[in-house]
Amino acid sequence: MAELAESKPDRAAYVLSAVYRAISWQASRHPSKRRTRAREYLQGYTAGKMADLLKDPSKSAVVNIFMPCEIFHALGITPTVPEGLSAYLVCTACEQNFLRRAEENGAADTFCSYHRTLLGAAETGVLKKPMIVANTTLACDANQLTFARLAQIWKVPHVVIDVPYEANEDAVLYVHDQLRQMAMTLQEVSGKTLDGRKLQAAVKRSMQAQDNFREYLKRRPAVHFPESFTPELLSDISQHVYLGTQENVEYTKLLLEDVKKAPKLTTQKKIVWMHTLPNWQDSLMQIFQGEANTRAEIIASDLSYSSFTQMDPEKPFESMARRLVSDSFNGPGSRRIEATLKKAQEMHADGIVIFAQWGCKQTQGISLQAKRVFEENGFPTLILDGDGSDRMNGGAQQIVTRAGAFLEQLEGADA
Amino acid sequence: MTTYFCKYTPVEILKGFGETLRMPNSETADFSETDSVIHSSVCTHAKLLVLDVLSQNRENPKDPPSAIFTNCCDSVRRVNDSLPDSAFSFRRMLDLPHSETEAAVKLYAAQLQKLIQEYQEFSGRTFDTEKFLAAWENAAAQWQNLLHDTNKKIAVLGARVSDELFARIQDQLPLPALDLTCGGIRALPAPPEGIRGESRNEIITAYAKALLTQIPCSRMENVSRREELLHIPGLAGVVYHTVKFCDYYSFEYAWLLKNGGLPMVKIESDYTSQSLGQLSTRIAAFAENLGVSRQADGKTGDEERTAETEKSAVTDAAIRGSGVYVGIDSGSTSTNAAAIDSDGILLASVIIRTGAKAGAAADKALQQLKDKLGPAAQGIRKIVATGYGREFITAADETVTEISCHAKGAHHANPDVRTIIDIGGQDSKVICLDEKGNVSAFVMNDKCAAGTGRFLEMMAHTLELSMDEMSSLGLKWKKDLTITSTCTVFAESEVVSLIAENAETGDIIHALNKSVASRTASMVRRVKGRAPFMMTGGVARNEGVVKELEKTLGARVFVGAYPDLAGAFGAALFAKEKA
Repeated sequence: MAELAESKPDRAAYVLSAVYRAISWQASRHPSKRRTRAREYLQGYTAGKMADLLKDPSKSAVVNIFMPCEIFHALGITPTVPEGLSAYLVCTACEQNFLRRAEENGAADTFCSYHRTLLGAAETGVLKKPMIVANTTLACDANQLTFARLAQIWKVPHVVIDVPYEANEDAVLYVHDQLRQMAMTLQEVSGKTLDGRKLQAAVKRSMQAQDNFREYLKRRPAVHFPESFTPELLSDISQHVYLGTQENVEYTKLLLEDVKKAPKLTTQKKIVWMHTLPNWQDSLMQIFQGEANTRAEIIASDLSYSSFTQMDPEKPFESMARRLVSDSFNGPGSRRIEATLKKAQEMHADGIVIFAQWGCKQTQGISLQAKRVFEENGFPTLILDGDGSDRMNGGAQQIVTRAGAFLEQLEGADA
Repeated sequence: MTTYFCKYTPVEILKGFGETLRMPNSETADFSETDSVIHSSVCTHAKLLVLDVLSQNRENPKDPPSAIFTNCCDSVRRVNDSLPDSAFSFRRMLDLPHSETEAAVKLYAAQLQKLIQEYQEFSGRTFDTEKFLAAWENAAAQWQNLLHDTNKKIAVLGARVSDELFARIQDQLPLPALDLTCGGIRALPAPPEGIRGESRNEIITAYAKALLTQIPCSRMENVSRREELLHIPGLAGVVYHTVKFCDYYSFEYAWLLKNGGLPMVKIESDYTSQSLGQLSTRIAAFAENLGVSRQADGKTGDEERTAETEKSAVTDAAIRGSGVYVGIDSGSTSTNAAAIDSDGILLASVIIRTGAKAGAAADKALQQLKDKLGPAAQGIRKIVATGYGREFITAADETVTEISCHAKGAHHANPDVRTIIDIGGQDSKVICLDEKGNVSAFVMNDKCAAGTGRFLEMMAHTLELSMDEMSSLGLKWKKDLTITSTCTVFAESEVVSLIAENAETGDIIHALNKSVASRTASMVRRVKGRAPFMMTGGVARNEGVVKELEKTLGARVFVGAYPDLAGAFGAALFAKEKA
C-alpha cells in the first residue's frame, strides 16, 4: 500500500476506500456478537464516512476534532478529523509513507503524528481536496499548522475559529461571532442555504447525545464490556464532530441499552484514560481491551466528556460557542486535570493512564502535574509515552512492560 | 526586573511603570533539572524558562521573579501550568488572540488594561503614559531604521535563537546578522498621529492593535505578511533556525526553500551547547558558499590510488621536488589525512581512530603521513583541516568545512556527480552539486545517531560482529525482515528481540541496512538530490547499505576506492588552491 500511495495515489485511495467500505459493511450488516451493538453501529458509520471521503471528498470538510460541527451537518457537509482518519490509516499499516511525505514537505519529526499522517495523505494525493478546511485554535498548536498547510496543498478556503484561553462571556461572544461568519462562508462554498430550524434540530440532537452519554457513563463502571479500546476512540469522536447527527443520537441510545444489558464487572481494574488511544497497538490493546481474560478495562477517556455543556437549541451559535470555550481542554491544564479527577472519583476508577502522545505538547506538558494531583487524590497514575499514529515511533515492548507493571501495581494494592 | 518570553508581550506597558525587562535566552549544559517539573518533549526554549525561574528562586528565595507570559504556544501554556504561584512575586498570563481582527484587538486591549491595573496594585507604582509612549516610539523607530538600512546583511529567521548561537552565527558569517526570529527585533508599527490627546482606553486599544499587527510569528492565523521579512533592504541570505520540539517553523522553511529566492541554510538547536560544533559546520559552509564563487578545476584525476601507486607517486614527487598539499579530516570516529602533489595526484594517505582527543589524533595522523611521504614531506606547502575537530588542529594553516571538502573531493574524482551522500561515524549529510562542483544545497541529520555509522557500530556490537563482517553478512540474507524503529536505542532492542527469535544474522543486518538506506534516502529527497550519486564516508564501505540505498533511490551509487578519504582529499585540493 505504501508503494501504491507513492506511485498511484488514485489507486491507493480506491483500495483504501474499498477496504473501509468493507469494514463498514461488515460492522453494519454482520456485526460481531463479541462486540457491543453500539460499537459496531458507530464503526459501520465511521468507516463508511472514511470510505466516502477517500472516494469523493468534494462534499466533505476536513476539520479538527474540537470544531462544533452542527453547522456542517445542517448543511449536509461531512466533517472528517485527523485523529479519525489517521487511526484508520495506521490500522491499514500504510501510515509510514504518509508520515515520511509530510516530513519531506516541512513537518517536523516532533510534530503530532496524527496530523503528519493526515498531511502525508494530502501530500501524496491519496486524500483529494475537500470543499473546505476548518479548525479551531483549541486544543493544540498543531491545528494552526496542519490546516493552513492543507489549505495550501488543496487550494481550498480555510476557516479558523480562534478560541480564547479564558472562559468568560466575552470569549463566548467572540467565538459566537466567528461561528456565524463561518456559517456564511460554508453557505458560500457549498451553494446551500443554512436552514435555522435544521441547525436548531442539530443542537437538540447534540443535547440528546450528551444526555445519553452522561447516563451511560454513570452506569459504565459497574459493568463489563467485551472491548474498550476502539469504543473509547469512537466515543471521543461521537462527543465532538458527530454531535448534531441523528446517527450519534442512535449510537448513544444503543450505548445506553448495551450498558443496561451488560454483565457485571468482576475483577478487571477500572481505568480512566487521558488523550487518544493507540488502537494500532495490539499488545497494549490486549492489556486494556476489556475481554474476559484481561486484567483491566477502560471505562472512560477524557476526550469523550470534555465538552459536556448546557445548550439551548433556541440559541444554536451561542450554545456551540459556549461548548467550545468551556471545553475542559481549553484554558489552563488544571481544568483538564480537574475534569478527569472528578470523573475518576464519580466512576470509582482504580487508576488513570495519561497517554502522552508524541508531539502533543498539551498532554505531554500537563502529564507530570496531572499525575501528582491524581496520586495526591488516591488514584495511581501511569504516564504512558507513545504514539497513536506512528508504529515506528517507540518500542512496543517497553510500553507493554510499563502498562503491565502498572496493572501489577494496581493489583498489588488489593493484596 | 520582569521576565518575559514573547514578542507580543506588552513590554512598553511595563516600561511605562519604569520596569526593566529580560528575556531568558542563554544556553544550558542540560535540562535534567526540568525533568521533575515538565515532560522532556516540550519545546526546549520553554524548558529554559522553567530553568530560569527555578534558578532565580534558588538564588533569591525571598524575592521570586515577576513574569509576564502570553498564551503563545502549547509549551508555554504548560510551563505556566507547571510552575506554582509561589515561584513568582507577580505573574500574569495574557490571553493572546490568534487573529488581528477588530474583535481580537478589543479582547487583547481588555487584557492589557487588566494588566495595568494588576501591575499597579502589585508594584505600587503609577502607570506613566508618556514613558509608555516614548518606549513604543523607540521600539517602532528601531524597525523603521532597519527598513532604511541598505547595507548587506544576513537574516536569522524562524524560532528564537540563543545568545550564544547567535554570536556563533555572527562569527561565522562574512556579513552582519540580524535577529528576526520570534524573539528578535519586533516590527512594531508606530503610534498613530495625535495619540497623546486620546483617552487611556483608546491609547491602549491602539497599542493592542500595533502588537497584533506587527509582522506575525508563525503561531498567528494570517502569516502571509511574514514574506515582508524577505524584502528587508540589503538582505543577502537567510540562516533559518528551528528549535527542538517547537514545530511552528519547519513548514515555513519548506515554503522558503521553494519560494524564498535567497541563499539559505537551516539549523536546529535545542538550547544546549552540545550541538554547537555541528551547527558551526553548517553555518561556515553556508558562509563559504555565500562568499566563494567556485570554479570547476577541470581535473579528471581520481583519488583512487592503491598503496603501490601512492608509493611510486611519492618517489616521483621527491624526485621532482614538486609541492605537497595536505588535507586532514578530523571526524568523530576516524581522523584521515591525505597528501597530493601539484597535479592533484594522491601521494599518501592515513586513516586512524580519533579517540578522545581530536588534536592529538590529527598530530599523529600528520606524523604518519609525513613518515609515508619520506623526503617529499619537506615539500609540504600548505595544510587544510576539515571535520568536526578542524579547529583543534594546530598544524593546519586554514580550515574549511567538510561539506565543501567532500564536494571538492567528489567533484575532482567524478565531475558528473550531482549528489554526494556522506555517512560518517556521527552524522550523515547529503550534498548537492551544480555542474561546476559548487554546493547548491545540503542537509545533515539531526543530533540523533539514527542512520549513521555509529548506529551500525552499535548494532554490530549487539550482534558481536566486526564492521567488515557486518558488510559481507548483510549481503547474504534470505528473509526480508524490517526494523521498525529508527531510534538507535529502540532499534537495538528490536535486534535483541530478533536474536531471541532465532532470526538469521544476515536477515537482521539486511533489515538494519534497509533502515539506514530509508533514512538516508529521505534526506536525499528532502534536499531534492538527483543522480549521479556518490557515496563517501566510512559507511560507503558497507556494500549492503550501498545496495539498499541504490534500491531505494532507484539509481546507481558510485563509491570510490577510498570513500573515507573524500573529505581529506578535498581539503588537500583546497590546500593546493590556497597555496
